[in-house]
Amino acid sequence: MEYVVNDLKRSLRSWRFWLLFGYHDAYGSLRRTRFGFLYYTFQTLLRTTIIFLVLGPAIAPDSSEYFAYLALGLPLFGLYSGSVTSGYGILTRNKAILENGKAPFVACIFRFFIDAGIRFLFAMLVYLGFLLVHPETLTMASLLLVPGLLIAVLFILSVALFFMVIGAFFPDLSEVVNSIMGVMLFATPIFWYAETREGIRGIIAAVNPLTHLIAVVREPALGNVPDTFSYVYACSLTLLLLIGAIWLFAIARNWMIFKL
Amino acid sequence: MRAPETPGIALRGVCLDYPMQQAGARLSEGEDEAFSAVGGHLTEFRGLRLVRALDDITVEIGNGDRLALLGGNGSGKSTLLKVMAGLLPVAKGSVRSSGRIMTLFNTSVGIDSNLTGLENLERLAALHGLPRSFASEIKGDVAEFTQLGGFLKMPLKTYSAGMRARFGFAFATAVPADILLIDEVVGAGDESFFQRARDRLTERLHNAGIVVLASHSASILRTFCSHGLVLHRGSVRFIGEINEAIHTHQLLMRRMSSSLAARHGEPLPAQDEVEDASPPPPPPALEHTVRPGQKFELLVTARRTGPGSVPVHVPPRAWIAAFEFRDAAGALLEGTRPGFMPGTQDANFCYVTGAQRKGRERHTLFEFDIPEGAHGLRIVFKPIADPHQQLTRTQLDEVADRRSRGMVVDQTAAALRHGEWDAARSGLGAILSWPAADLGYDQLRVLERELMGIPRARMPEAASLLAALLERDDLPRAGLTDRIAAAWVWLEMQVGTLSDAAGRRAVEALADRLLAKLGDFSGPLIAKGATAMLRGDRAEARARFRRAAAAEGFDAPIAKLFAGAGSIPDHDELMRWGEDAIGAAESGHAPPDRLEWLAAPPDSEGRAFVLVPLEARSFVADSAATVSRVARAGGSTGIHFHVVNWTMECERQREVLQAEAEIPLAFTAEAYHDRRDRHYPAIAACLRAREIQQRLKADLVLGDLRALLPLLENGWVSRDEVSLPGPEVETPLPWMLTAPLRAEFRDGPLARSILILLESYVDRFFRPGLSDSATFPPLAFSDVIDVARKHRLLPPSKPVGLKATDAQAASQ
Repeated sequence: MEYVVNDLKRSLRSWRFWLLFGYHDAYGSLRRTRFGFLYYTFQTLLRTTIIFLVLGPAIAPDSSEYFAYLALGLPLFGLYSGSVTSGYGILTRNKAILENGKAPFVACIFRFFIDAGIRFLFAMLVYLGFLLVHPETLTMASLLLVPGLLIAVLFILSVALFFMVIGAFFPDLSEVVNSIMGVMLFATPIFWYAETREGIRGIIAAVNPLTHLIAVVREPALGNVPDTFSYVYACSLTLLLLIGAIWLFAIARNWMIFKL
Repeated sequence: MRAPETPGIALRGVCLDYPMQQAGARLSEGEDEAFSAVGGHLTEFRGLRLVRALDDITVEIGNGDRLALLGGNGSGKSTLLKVMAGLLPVAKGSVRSSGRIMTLFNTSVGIDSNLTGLENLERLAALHGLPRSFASEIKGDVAEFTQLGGFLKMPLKTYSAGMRARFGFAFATAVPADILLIDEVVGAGDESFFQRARDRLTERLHNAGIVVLASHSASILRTFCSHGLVLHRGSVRFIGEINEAIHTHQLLMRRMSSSLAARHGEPLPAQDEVEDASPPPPPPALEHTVRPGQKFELLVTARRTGPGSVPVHVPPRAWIAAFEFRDAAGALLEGTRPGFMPGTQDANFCYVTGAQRKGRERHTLFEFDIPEGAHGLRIVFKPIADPHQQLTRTQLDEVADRRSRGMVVDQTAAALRHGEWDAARSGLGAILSWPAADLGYDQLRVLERELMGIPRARMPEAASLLAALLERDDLPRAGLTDRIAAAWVWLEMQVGTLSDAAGRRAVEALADRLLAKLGDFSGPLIAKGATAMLRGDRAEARARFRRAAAAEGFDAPIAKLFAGAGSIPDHDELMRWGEDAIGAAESGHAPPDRLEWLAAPPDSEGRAFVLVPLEARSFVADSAATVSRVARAGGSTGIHFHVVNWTMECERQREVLQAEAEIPLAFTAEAYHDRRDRHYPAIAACLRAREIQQRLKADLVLGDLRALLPLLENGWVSRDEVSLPGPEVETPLPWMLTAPLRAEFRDGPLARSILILLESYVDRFFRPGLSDSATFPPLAFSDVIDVARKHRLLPPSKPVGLKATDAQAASQ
């Protein structure tokens, strides 16, 4: 455990590294474009608008809130699923840096977080635009956004660490998880409402962890109070993952460097 | 245990296991063998196959240590460095270190090729936990070292591999560290990069507390390290003084080769060959205090302790003692310098004042003069590669002189490098006053490199510095000025990039003065012309080419060729010209003017005239059949080849040509030299002759003593005739120049006469104050024979210039 704490301390001290490298990762392919990060906003706006126009009349015919529902759900799903699928690639992406001792392991997780966070923040500009038009969306319940985001951040860091370690030893798993995450887009209430579904679809929505992890952020943002069950589910899962990831990291640390 | 205050690394009983990529993987027999040959030992742990990369390593490295890691591929050098850096967890033992560690394993870590050089500097600073301001601080330093200039504002993906290597290396070596761990990055890049990297690392190493360097290059390790650790299959085989470590490593490699050869049924090396490579006896422990100015005597006693079959190498028969004196700060006062002597390139030599053999012991006495400020003395005993290369006392005298001169060259180079112009002026002044024969090629290259590396902003200043030197009346028109001219031509190529108009004018004026001084040296003139052509100034280029052509030097015909050309021809273009000329000749049309020097139709005597340009030597062989056709088309019954620069390559190609030609061939040459004359271009120049007779019969033109060899090949002198045993020849001429002669003639009487003659030439040519108008008569073979007879080295009745058989018949 001492090693994990030391690695965390070193990672926090190397903030310059993960801030700048994460920023460069996010900027990446947009470097030569005129509008840069705003393309993340544009992508979200495009997806949200098209889904809103295609599915909106069927799912929520009289509700403009459905637009905000989509504008929040799509980036949140991308953030969570990205932390699972990208978690596998963190070691590979930082191979040279780790091999040459330029940064600790957890710093590489932070680097990924900054990258994903920047993309998410610019995607959220669509939601902020919606708020300008419909400021009444925000209520006192929106204050619950703070603990919701805190849970989301912890979950992302935990899941990235967990899958980084797992990925080092079981590379085959990444393909399985990637396939599952592709399906999860449809099994998660992003463009449909969980409450309106019953039977098997209702059960899938209820047991799907992403449902609750998205809910604890999305519902306050829409001015609603999330279910207590969602909080319990999301917090428990995050805590379990965090403990599991730290435990895995502690026992696997000596071998990870050989698995690069 | 409290960590020590000063930088240090301590490894105790360290073992490290690499897991095999696939659990439970089994190796086939052949693979197992490969592992055992180059890698670590195979082990198992709870059913997991492991490779023990490091096995029981114990080493302590203290502040000020410079340790080299040696070993073959897979011996564990890189792994050990990573363990020292704390990157790899050890299976057993402990690793302790104190001080800031900087690793230099890979110069491209953290670099984003889409970002500019400057942005990458910020990125690398962030990666090393350094503030953004650090990137700004080192920007100038990196720009100067990498010479990337405006490229720093361009994405790294536009850089070549070499430029990237420079960039990464520049940053890595700019970060301050107490402990520097380096893995093979010095050997990357081109020669120029290597030199600059070496200089930069030298500076860094002086500042770093500890340096550990892994490399396969013995010269790199010798340059940077004082001790070596030899690894073999993950275990320490030797740790001690660097030269011994290198020797042990080489021995291990040879034994491995022998072992592998035996496994594959290949013949083993001869037993004595293996024995010769036995580890040298350990150097005596030495601790002695002397005062500056005091004479220091060192008595070395070597004792044969083993069975008689193992030879004991004792000074001075097969050893050279090299030494270094350092001041209290560790700076080198006097010591190892590049020298002339083969097999001892990096060593100086000290006098052996006495040697005595007593049974199995041999005592050898060395004498030193302790320089002022000397704080420490390091002595290295270096075996001479070839025991037959005995040094005479005269040669040792020369080396002693050259040693001090070598130091002046090095100091001047350092002054140029650091922009200390007063020191550089003083040093260059001293150097230019020496006989050029005393300057080694390597030393000239050092100066040339520094001149070429002068920062652009310093060029005008450097121009005035050189201008002051060129005002000297006694400037020797020898090899040194030739080299400086070459460097200066390069500098002038940069003139167009100078923004300072006054500086540009100063540089151009200097170039003109330099050319005036160089007189009829056509080589620099041609280079100048090429420079002008590169700048697009064709009129200037033509003027210079014409001037070179008028000088009637070696390259005058080529200068004429260039003068008529629109651009500088490369080899392919020359070949095309040749084809054009041949085609024109075959079709009965006269070749264009520009080709007149390349291939002319047969003259009234039926001789075709062919020029073989320097850069198209293979033209001779490539065109043999076609040339024959040309000659036949012109009604020739033979071809007379007139070669401007007869090189050793021409010598080889002549044989090819003669074998392929369908008609008789004859050869003449204006100059006879080979690559060696780059060391002594002045000698080649002074020995040139214009009066070449029809064949290489009597008036052989010498540019290098190797030119004598055709005499033997043609049978004009017999080998026995010049191989008579005689007293050892002592001469102040450099060994490098006389080595081929000695090897060929074994110090026979003819060799002596040639040396005496050459000495007089060299003495005349390199005499300070020589005027530009001085001319040098050609050195003819008959002169050599005359001298030999005059000195009674050959019987007076011996006929001269006849074939050996005739000579023998005449003497009978």
